[in-house]
Amino acid sequence: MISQNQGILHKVSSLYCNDAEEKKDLFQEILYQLWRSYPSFRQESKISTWIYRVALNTAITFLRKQKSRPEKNSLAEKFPEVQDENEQEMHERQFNMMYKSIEKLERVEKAIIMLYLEGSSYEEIAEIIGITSNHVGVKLNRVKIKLKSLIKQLDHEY
Amino acid sequence: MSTDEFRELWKRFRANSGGEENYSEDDILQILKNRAELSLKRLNRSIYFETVMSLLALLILILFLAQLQTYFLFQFFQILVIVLIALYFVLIGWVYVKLNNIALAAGDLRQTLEKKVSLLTRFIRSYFWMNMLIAPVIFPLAIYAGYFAGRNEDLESIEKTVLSGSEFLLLAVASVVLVGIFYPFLRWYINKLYGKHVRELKKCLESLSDMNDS
Repeated sequence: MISQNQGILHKVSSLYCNDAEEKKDLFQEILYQLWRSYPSFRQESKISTWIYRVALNTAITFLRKQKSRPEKNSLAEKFPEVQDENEQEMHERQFNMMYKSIEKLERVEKAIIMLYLEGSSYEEIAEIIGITSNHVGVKLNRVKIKLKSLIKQLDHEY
Repeated sequence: MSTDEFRELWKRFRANSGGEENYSEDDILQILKNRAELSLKRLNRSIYFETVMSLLALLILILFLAQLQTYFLFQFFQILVIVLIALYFVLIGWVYVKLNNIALAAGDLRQTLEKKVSLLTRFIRSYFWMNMLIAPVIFPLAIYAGYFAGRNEDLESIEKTVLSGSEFLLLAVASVVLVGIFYPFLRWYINKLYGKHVRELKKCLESLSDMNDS
């Protein structure tokens, strides 16, 4: 079950940790929490919803190292200037910019936008986060606006 | 970029989980086995550090107590400190068990955050007050013992010594200064160990509460 869904664990770990060692630790912590929590999984929700719930609960409450973490890559490295950018490169650059902006969001905002991008319904997001479906809609709109603004800002910096 | 484009981009580049290494079942089992080592590194690390330090203090006190059999005053305070350290073990053990028993699958994010924030806040408050209650007892005693030992070789007479008014005032001022220094130090220390983490968790919880209140 876990080996089939480990993509979720990788996605969550990558989104919440920049440092490679910390990312690995978070992955292991999520894995451990899934293993511990499995007996209480009542199969009322989809397995992926349950995995997201445990993974995001763990990632958000995970104690980070109390050190200033340098950015993994500089902006120039992350968005290399391309003279004759083809479509693939352009999309890749847009994705990097979007991902970088998502990394700048608050922990809960990251969770909500990630679930939205993964295609989860409002009901599933509400079940994972613990708010009503209506509030998921409200929050999601706010996060989208913030994300667009961050992307714009990043685009200007570049 | 529209939000639909966000989704398209995400599907295109993150669908394969970003090309991270996929673990086999054997690898996953190995990771779970190694989890004990990992637990030493994280939140529990600070609890382990505190426990080891308290255990050392406890051992030192017991060793001194064994040597100071005739001095009732010191015995009394040392026993008091030993009792307080024992209480601390109970407190830290309770926090450890509670923190590690929060069933993540049973609750949603909001419930998990509420439980963790409440538990850590209670622990920090108890830890702070336990230390602040010990300090006004220990510091004057330590200063008095140090002052007396510097003046007299005969420790037998420590309980019969009567301090002059100026000596008493000096020791009292020194004790107040030490407690005054200890207070911000303790706050800084607790903040260093748990403060940032608890603040982050509270911030997450507030953002969820804002949503349901709006």
